[in-house]
Amino acid sequence: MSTTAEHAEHPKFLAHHFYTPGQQADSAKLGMWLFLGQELLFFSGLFLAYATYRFFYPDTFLEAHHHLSVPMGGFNTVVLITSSLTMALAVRAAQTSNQKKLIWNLVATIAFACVFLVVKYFEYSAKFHHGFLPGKFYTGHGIEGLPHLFFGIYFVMTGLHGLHVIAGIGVLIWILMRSKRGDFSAEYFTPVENVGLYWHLVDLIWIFLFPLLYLVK
Amino acid sequence: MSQAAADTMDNTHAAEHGGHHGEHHVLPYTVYFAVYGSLLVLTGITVLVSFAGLGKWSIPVAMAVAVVKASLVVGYFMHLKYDDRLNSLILVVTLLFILIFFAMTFSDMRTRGMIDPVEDNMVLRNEQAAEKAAAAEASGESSEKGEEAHHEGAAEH
Repeated sequence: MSTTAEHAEHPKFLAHHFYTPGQQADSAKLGMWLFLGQELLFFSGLFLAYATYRFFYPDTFLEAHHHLSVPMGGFNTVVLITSSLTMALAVRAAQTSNQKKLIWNLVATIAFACVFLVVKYFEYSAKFHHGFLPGKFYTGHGIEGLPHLFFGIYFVMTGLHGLHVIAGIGVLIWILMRSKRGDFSAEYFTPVENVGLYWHLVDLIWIFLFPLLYLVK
Repeated sequence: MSQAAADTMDNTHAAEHGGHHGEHHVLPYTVYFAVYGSLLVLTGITVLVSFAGLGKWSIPVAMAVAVVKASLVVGYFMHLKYDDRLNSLILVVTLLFILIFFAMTFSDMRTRGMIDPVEDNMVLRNEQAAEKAAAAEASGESSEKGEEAHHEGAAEH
């Protein structure tokens, strides 16, 4: 039977329900984009909550946002953009079967992600210290209006983004271990590519969060 | 950069011919670093603009810069420019639904103040009625007639 011959040609990474590696890669990427679409829709609800409360309480938002640190937020923006670059370079290294570069770029991406979280930790500590917390937990002083609403939105948006960063570190470590094992090459690097797409999305969300929360006057 | 432009054209061609399945479009390093540099510059612009005191224009400007940054990330870092068009379609449809989501909610927020909570009526309509009454009074009609009309209206109710 010809099927045995076809099976013999199947590379190890090719699942049995796909005809060619190309088809498998395209399908995986399509699925990833659907997931990213869902992520965008889910975050859009939070952005809309921000827009709604900002529309109804513009003065509160103006005053409360002064209590966020622009240098810290700006630094984190640069960190995330740089991590996006190293991630893109990691995918490029996989495309060109450069395992050493792949591993180092993944390590750099994970390192930048950790730096982001450390800065976030200091930011959150400052907010906790001043009692700038969401809803009924708000015990801060010195902001007119309804600052607990602003900090509710701040913590939910940056918190969910932060969870995405943590999840990103998780999948990056998984990809790093597989890279060390030598799983990826120019022939097969779909997981690297899809983790890359996810990581860029985390960067994309922050690109909108930073000006809206930290900067808008 | 001309090398990059040439590569770009090659890749676009490949995508158009649909024969790109399984092929990878390896972008030159210059593209990655040019995008990275642009993202840093645009971040700087966002920060500087926020201190320029643009007032109500600050959000549109900040969002416009953010959209440019996002397009760079999506197009080059996420390779969407060189990808299967189906993936772009998913992104476009997603953005379309987000647009609908925002448009519907904003139309509610912007018009909510026009609702009179007691009369469950449009304030706008009340204002029009008041204007009509004022115009009628100004035109010198007798107040009695106006009252009669009022009574008739009440009777109809």
